[in-house]
Amino acid sequence: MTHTFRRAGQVFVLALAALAAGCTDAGGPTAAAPGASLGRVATQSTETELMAPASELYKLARFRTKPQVTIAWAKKWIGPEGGRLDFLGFAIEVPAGAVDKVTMFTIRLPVDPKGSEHVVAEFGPHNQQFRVPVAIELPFTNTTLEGSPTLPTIVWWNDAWVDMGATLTADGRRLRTSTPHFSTYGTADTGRGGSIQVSGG
Amino acid sequence: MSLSEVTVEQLLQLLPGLDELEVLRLRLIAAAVPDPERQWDSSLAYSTVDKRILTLEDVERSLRQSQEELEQYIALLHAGLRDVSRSFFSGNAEEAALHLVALGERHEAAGRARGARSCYDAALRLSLPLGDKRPQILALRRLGRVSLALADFAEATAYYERSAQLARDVEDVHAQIIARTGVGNVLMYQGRWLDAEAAYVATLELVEAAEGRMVLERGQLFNNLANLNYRLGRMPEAEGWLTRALEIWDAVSSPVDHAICLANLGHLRLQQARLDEARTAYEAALALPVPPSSKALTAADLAELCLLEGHVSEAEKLARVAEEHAIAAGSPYTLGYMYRNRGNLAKAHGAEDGFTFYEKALQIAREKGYASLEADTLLDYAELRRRTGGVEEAHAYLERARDLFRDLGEVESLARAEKAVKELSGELPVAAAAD
Repeated sequence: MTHTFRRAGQVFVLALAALAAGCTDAGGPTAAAPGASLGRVATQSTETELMAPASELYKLARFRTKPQVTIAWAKKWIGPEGGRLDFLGFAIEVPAGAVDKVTMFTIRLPVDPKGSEHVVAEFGPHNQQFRVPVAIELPFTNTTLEGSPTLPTIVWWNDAWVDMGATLTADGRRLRTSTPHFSTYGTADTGRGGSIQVSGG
Repeated sequence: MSLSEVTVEQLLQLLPGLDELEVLRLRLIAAAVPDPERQWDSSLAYSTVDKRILTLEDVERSLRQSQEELEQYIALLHAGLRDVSRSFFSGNAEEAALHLVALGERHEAAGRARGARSCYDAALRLSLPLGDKRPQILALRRLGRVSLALADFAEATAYYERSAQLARDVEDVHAQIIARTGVGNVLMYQGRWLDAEAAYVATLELVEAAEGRMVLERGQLFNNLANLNYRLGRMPEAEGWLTRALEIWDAVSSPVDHAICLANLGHLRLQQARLDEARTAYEAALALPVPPSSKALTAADLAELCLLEGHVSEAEKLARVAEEHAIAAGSPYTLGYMYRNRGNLAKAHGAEDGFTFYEKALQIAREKGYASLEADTLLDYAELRRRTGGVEEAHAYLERARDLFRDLGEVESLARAEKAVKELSGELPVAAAAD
């Protein structure tokens, strides 16, 4: 557990180092998401809102050891050649040809005490359909899904959490899925593990 | 020197190895569960069931209860055999065989699966030379059902298939449909969803050909098709089958099937994050007059829902209700399932006393030879072991689970176990990994 947390911290430090090198940017003003309130995410100077209501976050997986997030968003300019943005166990992997011009990709995490317990992030840009599906990854280890008897999955917010399905990454540390557009994504238990009771026979 | 309390381990060593004392052993294990005040502590003092303690009062209460249960059982057994003997002496061997089947059913209802199997075996032997094949078809089908309850999947399939074949030979479509549904049910427990679907769909075609008859069997197939579509993640299809099934259970009285349908509806609503509706469905299933084993499983599902909602104390309460039903069912298998479930609950909120419950589940599974339960428990337990630093133990558990799943033919679970073994191999100390 401690090991995992330390690893998360290293990622954060690396992310900051990358910022300094200009590969990934954190902070900067962005427009508040237009969706309903209220799990809040932070930029360096402002707070914006996740598209999912805070009252719905409890359905998502939680971190066993909550990451200590102070700067909770990252951005990276990625062009038609593709690229990858990693941030605190979350990631975006843009294949070649997904965008036709250099585009700013972002990952925002909640910073309020309740919201940041959950494995959830807002991926950007919004309102853009990718030409090729883009992969996103969310943390699996150090979350309540690890060791769950039922199948873990990635869900996206569309007035309710919608199951997108997911696979584990090769290192087994993250859940991965692909999507043609961005929104707020979290991880959850599919709940498909209830008791098997059959009729007849 | 007198003792105020002794451990379960000490007590079980006192008992002679008689089958008749099985009820008492279960009662003692159940009585050793800690009181609610301490149940969810993570104290290592509770880390294994063998070290739990019992007072003399606990033991005397357990003796009293098991004696009452045993006396009731003996009365049931002898009354049943009286009917068998009378029919046999009157020259009606068919009726005698059916009485033996009825006696087996009463054993099943009391959670005595192995006793039931002995009764059905006797019915089958008696029915083999008879010209009327109905008792044989029924005995084979019941053997299939009880073998499934005991997780003997290969035997269950063989009995159901033989029953279906015989029914087809004598052109008894109704019996054929029931047996073929049983074949599908075995495949469900093996996690062979697509094979189960093929079996159910083929059986449903037989039902549809019967043109409006066999409504009960149609509803049962709707239940099962809903269940497997849910397992396959085809939620709209699952919803459609459930709607059709519920229409039947509104018109036809079959509390067990209705409860199964509602439990499946609860699973679906939970998956859809419609938690209030999931709760309503589970509670409605629990309110129906169904056998304790069914209540135990649904109460365990509702407990998991409560945990998801963050209602930990309600989850704990329901888990204990589930355990009581499992004990009332007298079924070691159901009880083992409950302990595994409680281990998962404890693990989910970080309590280390998950060890205790997993150990209990494993103890029952191994003593009784429930390979499926053992494998499932090992898979869940391994994660807790890994999390608490026992990487090598966890790896050994996973390897054992993998071997069991392979023997059982549980395809999906085998894949999960293989993946888990592979993942954990990277965490093993170098020397252990090289072995």
